[in-house]
Amino acid sequence: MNTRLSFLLFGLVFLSNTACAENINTWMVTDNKINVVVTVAFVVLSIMAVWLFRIETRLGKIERQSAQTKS
Amino acid sequence: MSQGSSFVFFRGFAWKALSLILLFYTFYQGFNGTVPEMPILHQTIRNLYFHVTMWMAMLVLLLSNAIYGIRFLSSGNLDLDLKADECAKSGMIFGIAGLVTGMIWANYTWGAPWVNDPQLNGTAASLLIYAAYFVLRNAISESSKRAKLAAVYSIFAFVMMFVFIMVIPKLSDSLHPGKGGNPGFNKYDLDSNMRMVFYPAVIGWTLLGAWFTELRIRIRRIEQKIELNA
Amino acid sequence: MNSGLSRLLSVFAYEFRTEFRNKESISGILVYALASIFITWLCFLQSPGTQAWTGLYWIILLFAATNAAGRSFIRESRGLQLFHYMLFRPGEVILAKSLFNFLLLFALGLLNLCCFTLMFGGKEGTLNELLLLTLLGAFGLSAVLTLVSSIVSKAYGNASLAAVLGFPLLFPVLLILVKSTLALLEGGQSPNWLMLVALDALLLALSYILFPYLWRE
Repeated sequence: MNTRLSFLLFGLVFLSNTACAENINTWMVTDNKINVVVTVAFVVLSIMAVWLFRIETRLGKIERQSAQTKS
Repeated sequence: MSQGSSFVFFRGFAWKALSLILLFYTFYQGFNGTVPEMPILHQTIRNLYFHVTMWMAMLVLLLSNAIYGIRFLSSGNLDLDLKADECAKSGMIFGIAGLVTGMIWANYTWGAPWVNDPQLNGTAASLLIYAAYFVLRNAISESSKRAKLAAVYSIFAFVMMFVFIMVIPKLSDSLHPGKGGNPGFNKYDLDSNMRMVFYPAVIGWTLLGAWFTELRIRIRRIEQKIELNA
Repeated sequence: MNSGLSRLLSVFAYEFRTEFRNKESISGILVYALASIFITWLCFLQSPGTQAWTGLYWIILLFAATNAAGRSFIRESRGLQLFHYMLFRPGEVILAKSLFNFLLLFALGLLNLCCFTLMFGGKEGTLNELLLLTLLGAFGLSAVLTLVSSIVSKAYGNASLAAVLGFPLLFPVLLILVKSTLALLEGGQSPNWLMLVALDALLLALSYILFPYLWRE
């Protein structure tokens, strides 16, 4: 699996699970924390999406080129 | 090259977009939605969306590995072996993610990162089983032989993993009624609010795993082509 | 059906003769098992308690079994395998080899059980159940290790690869055996025989189905 994508995945699940586990009783009350966590998660997820689409575009290009050379 | 500058359509775009949408939804609703109030668990029940789903994605990827193994044995098509290999690799990544996140949660809730829990043992066992699968793959240099032996091993491995994580936890509960049935995982009585997040989360993470795998497969196909031409 | 059985028995008899013609390998397996039991004795010098008794019992059997059954295809030369390929059907070979390994491992299990009961003491009235557990355990171990040995021989691997590939596949059967033994020795609970028999049958069926794919390689 792509190393950078794996790191992003680990970052995401590490963040969300630590957020879930931390301050078991209180973190719903201090709701500012939730917004920070959700925002960071959205940012990481967006970076991941950009990465995925960049790989997709490059791969698509190479695949079409190799298909053309074959025909 | 008139195509190069025009907008590129991705192969199978819909499910990839769905994966991202579901994940954004999971992160938003997972932290903001309401959850039932339960002792011990409290708000940590939310890790159902971020930890248990890793495990589900791992299972789907490893099941695909076994299915590609069966299909390889019946057809002998080496491309299926490549797919099986990459499915197992992604499955391992999700398995490690599931294990690490489980340890984070256990450390906060039970006070220790490694406890005697059937689920935890099951994940560790699956990781070891598939580590042995990769040892086998690395031990053979001849590609058609490697594919065949790996396919046979992967089918055996998947059945054993299934027995370990699905059948044995039930047996151990029946042996030790007091010790089994830990307070964590058995009490997820999924209420409708949680289901509305959990099922999309499972689908989203699984599709993400499939996406990672598909990209790796395509990259390796190109690598193979380059090797053939060189 | 009858001819199938007699063919199976002839493959088994062949396997039996070749194994016993080679006296070093059988005595090697025996010394391996006895030496590991004696090392355990040196570690404790008394009864180690139920939990350790159970764990050591199965671990020693697992190691001895891997040593004994893990080599069953490896020791054959390439030429001999080709010869088998012409004479026998794959199903017969795997069943005969598994049967032979089963008897070998059961004999090892009996030795292990005798030594453990003599050195570390046993519990009154559990001997029959322990015997049956050893029998079923030997069956499961032989089914998995025979197939693994075949995979390893095709990969030109050695006995350590057999351990690497075999141990993870044996997690479920060993876990059930250990749990059953513990429940038997601690609380006198009768093991879940149906579960063990079903698992053994599953293991044998899997190796029977999968072996023909290795055979032609």
